[in-house]
Amino acid sequence: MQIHFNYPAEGFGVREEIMHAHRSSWRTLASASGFWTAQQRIEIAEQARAARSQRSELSFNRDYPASELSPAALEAARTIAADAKKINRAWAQQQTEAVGLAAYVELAAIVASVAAIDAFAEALGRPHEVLPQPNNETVDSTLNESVADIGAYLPMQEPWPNPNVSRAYSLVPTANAMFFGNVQVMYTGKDRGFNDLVWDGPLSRPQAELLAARVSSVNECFY
Amino acid sequence: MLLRASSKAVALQVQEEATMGGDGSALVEAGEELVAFGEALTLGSDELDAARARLRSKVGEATLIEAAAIAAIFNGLVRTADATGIPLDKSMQDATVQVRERLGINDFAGAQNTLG
Repeated sequence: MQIHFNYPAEGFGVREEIMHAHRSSWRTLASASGFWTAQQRIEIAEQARAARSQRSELSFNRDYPASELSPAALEAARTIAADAKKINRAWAQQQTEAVGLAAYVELAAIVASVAAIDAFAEALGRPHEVLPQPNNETVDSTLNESVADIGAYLPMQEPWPNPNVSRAYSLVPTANAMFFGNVQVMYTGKDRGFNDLVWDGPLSRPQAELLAARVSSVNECFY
Repeated sequence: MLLRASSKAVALQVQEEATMGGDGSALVEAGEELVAFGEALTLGSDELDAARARLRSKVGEATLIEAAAIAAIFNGLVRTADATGIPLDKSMQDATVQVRERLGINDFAGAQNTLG
């Protein structure tokens, strides 16, 4: 059985909680859900990785691996991965109607998770992690019934005491947990939260926020 | 947006223009190296190896890894925000009227939905 994200063996002093979060993401990715088979979830990741890797190319110049995913699923995965700044309400409505709201939520959470994990590899100067093989496990896809229209493209949990973005995938709690499990350890650290204004990590808060804000700005992300 | 709030918290005069590619990153320790690293990673630039080496030499391996984690997860967070049309939190919307206008952030395509 392949051991994924073996950072210590490669000489990277990555915090254990980051390694565990990445391994957990790969395990979840390789599991079937109520909306996608395990193979489909891995193909979403594969398409997202291919799109993001070619993000500097014009969309019609990009090449993709073969896939059994529907045209709408391919469009959603590739656009979120490589052209997210172009997304608007009309596009989102078209995609959610075509693939289904909850299926779109899971797809987007997979794409965002793979983008972050792949970017981490690139930032460290290591190859992208090999995508997992389907396992025999199942992700709980029970829908959150405490959701409302908060003005986003998707219904989200309401009320919510934390920053809006942290409830982005809350229609499907396991999808929210998949992505924000990575946020918790990669951005805030295991004991820190979005709302803490001072921290004691290796980077000062101003350093961290300058870096984060610049990444958001280059991506032309308003939020 | 968070940069403005957290910078106040530590009483440091950070010029938000640095986040838009302008001057000001030098006011934060290793700021220029951090900005160059984040840009190269996000753009998929050939400069990434050199930017990583400069940052490592400035801050050391442990801090480089933390910077890698933050830059990487924000490449997921921006996709999350754009894919879901998340509205800007009301408190942040109210607190950033001037800085959004001054930096031209309201012109980003995502502002159409994020501003509500």
